[in-house]
Amino acid sequence: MPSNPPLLALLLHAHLPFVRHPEHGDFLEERWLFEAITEVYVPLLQVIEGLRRDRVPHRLALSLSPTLLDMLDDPLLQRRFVRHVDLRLEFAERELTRTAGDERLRRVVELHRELFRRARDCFVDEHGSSLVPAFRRLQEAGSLELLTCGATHGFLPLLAASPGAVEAQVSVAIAEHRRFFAAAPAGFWLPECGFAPGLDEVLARHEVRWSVVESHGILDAVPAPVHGTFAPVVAPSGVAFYGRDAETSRAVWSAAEGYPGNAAYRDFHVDVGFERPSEELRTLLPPTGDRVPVGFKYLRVTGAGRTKEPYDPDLAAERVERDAADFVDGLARRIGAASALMRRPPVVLAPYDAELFGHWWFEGPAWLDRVARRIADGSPGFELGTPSDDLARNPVVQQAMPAASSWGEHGDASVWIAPGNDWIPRHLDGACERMRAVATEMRGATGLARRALAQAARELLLAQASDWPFLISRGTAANYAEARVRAHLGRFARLHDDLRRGTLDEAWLAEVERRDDVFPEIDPEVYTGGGRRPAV
Amino acid sequence: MGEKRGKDDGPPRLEDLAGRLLGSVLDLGFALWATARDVADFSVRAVRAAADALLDASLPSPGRDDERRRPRPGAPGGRGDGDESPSRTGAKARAEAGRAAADATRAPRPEGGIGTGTDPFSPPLPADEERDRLVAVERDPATLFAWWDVTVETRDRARAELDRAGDRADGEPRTVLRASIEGAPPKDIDLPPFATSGYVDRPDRGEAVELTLGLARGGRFAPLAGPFLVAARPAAGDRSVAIWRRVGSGGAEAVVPGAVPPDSATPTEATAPSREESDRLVELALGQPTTGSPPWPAGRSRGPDHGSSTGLPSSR
Repeated sequence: MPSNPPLLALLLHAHLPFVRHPEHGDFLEERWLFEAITEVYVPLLQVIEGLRRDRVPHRLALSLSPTLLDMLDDPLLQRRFVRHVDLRLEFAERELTRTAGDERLRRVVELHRELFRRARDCFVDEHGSSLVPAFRRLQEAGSLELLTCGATHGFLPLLAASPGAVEAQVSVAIAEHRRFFAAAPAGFWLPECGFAPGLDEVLARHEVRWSVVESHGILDAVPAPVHGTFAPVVAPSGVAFYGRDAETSRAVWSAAEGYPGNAAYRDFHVDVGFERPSEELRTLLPPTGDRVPVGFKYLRVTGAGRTKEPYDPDLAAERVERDAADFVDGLARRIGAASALMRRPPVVLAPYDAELFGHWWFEGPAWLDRVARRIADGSPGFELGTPSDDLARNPVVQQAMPAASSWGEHGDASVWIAPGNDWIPRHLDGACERMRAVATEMRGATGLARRALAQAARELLLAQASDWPFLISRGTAANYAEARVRAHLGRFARLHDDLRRGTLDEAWLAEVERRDDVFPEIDPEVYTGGGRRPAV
Repeated sequence: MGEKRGKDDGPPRLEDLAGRLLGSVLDLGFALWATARDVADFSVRAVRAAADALLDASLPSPGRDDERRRPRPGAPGGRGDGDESPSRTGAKARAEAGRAAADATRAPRPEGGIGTGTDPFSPPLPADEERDRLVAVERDPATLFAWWDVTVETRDRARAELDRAGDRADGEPRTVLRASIEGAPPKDIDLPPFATSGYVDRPDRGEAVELTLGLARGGRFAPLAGPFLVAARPAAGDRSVAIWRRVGSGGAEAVVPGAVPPDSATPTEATAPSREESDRLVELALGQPTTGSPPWPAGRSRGPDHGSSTGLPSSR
């Protein structure tokens, strides 16, 4: 392998909105976190630790959103996760009894029991109920480069219209990253890959060195990039931008032709939570009695128009091997072709939502493992690396300003500004303006007033999450998403008004602090930076 | 309206019919007024009738959602791309899940639950922002989205200004969003009276546009909020002009081609590929040919279509 080989920069973006409801004993949306721990984060840690144990060269970029970090670090949610997985282990035992006469099905049940058993053992015994230090250790060992993203995953091109909003999202994110990992990140994941010219200046102020935009964000850059998306561009502010590689995305993301849709893989949608009598699922369904997925999925995709067949782990494993080979071989050909046209080694930036691997695509972690091992044997002619590795080896970069873009449908902001959710920006903007004013006027406040200012900043950040308008536009969990926006904006409004009038209710404030306890060290003046409102 | 008539009361009298008609008109008028008051935005292409009052009346409860699963993160192809999940029967399964959820017995909602409307920790949103301001952002290359607030005092002042300047016989002033482009007469877009946001077509060539909210009557215009300048959309870049920077821990500094000594350990050659090589690199990047016109209009690139059948190169 040459000293400066082409790179595949695999970037996993791990994010969940802040879903913590201490006011309820069992809240459905908290399961998003528990499912991700079981199916994504624990398996990912195990894949990386396996590569390290086997001395397989590897290096991945991993974005951990601040809200996800806070939830992983939260004792209440940690306890609830253990309860969540214990209930499933109990159910698995009952299922094993029920399927004693069906060897094929029983084997699948055993696989699920093993999944939950590994999750519990890893979470509790190996990592003391906190996964965050594990990620830190892997970064220190060189396996991972950790990056951050917007504090609450706000869609920054939209927030840029409100002075101080982007600054708050970026500065709080970096402060949280420092709190957990004792160092500032070199990379910053733009939520939804949402970029607009000018955002790079905010990143540059916080010494971010690189970020990622959608493919057309690079291909439409000004001036046009001479290397397509096979090399980054650097904005005049000094921040380098990598473009998502379309082909590797299509290979995994595409519903029509992506790997996860293969007939051998576990079917995501057919879950025993919708199939079995309620009394059998009593301990797994929410208190409302709603039918929801419970994490036991026994069938494989099988194929259109066919009766779904029981999942076959051996068949799936064979398919994983083939799909990993297909991915690596195809990429090797493209990289080879690009190398012949370039005077620097090409870099392919392949970002994915981390939750794809293990949750949506059950076999995803195994596929990642096989891909890493195939690349490591040297034959493909490229290595796994991160954008920081690329910049260190190839510091001469074409200057260009990426185009306004996102990885949402249509590649623009239309998902987050659409009938159904377009009432939100006006309220966020108004709240931001009021936050700046009250934080400026009460600069240096102490005691109760400072607590209220800090909580107001938290509420506004929580209302800004891009997840809420996304869910509303997709019509899934839309009511919950809308309620979240309203709740946070309503709490902000009351805090603001109480601060103005001097009518703070400490008991009410304490309860809101208990519920929305994200970013414990937030600076209440975080919204007072950011300059004047920019022209669009 | 009117007393209930029994079936044996004979044909309806004209005054009863008139009364009922008047009642219906009044009911309809009230409904229109209430709807207009609650309209949160206008659109030149679509009218949105939802409002905060209607939304408050439809606050969520656990179990009312069709699908209580985690949809957002990691949805393959569904990262806003609109694709279905990889399962071939995903849509069918979701529909079934929705039916199952709708059929399931629901437990009573907990008191004070999020979004119940009675939760003391979910106070209502402010009805208005009590400020005068106009903001616009780009929604997509062809469309801007604008929102605004206007105080009662400002609206009264603007109206008084129009009254002083013009003839009240011209009728009620219209609330308009005035779009001004250099070198062209301004265009007024009529707004519903109580709208607070809306969509505006961007100028075809992506020119800068200045938006001002105001009252208009008889050719006169009194501003309410703004102006807000929307910068011109950058033209498509020229690949023949390449500027090179050296990126280091302290930021980026300029690189002068030819003045950089070759270094085998850290390659520093800043030589761009030829135009043909560059075109080929774009093809490889997208898996689409770039000969002739670009596959997308300049400035309106849509990125890779995740529903296309291109896939990996056919040589695999």
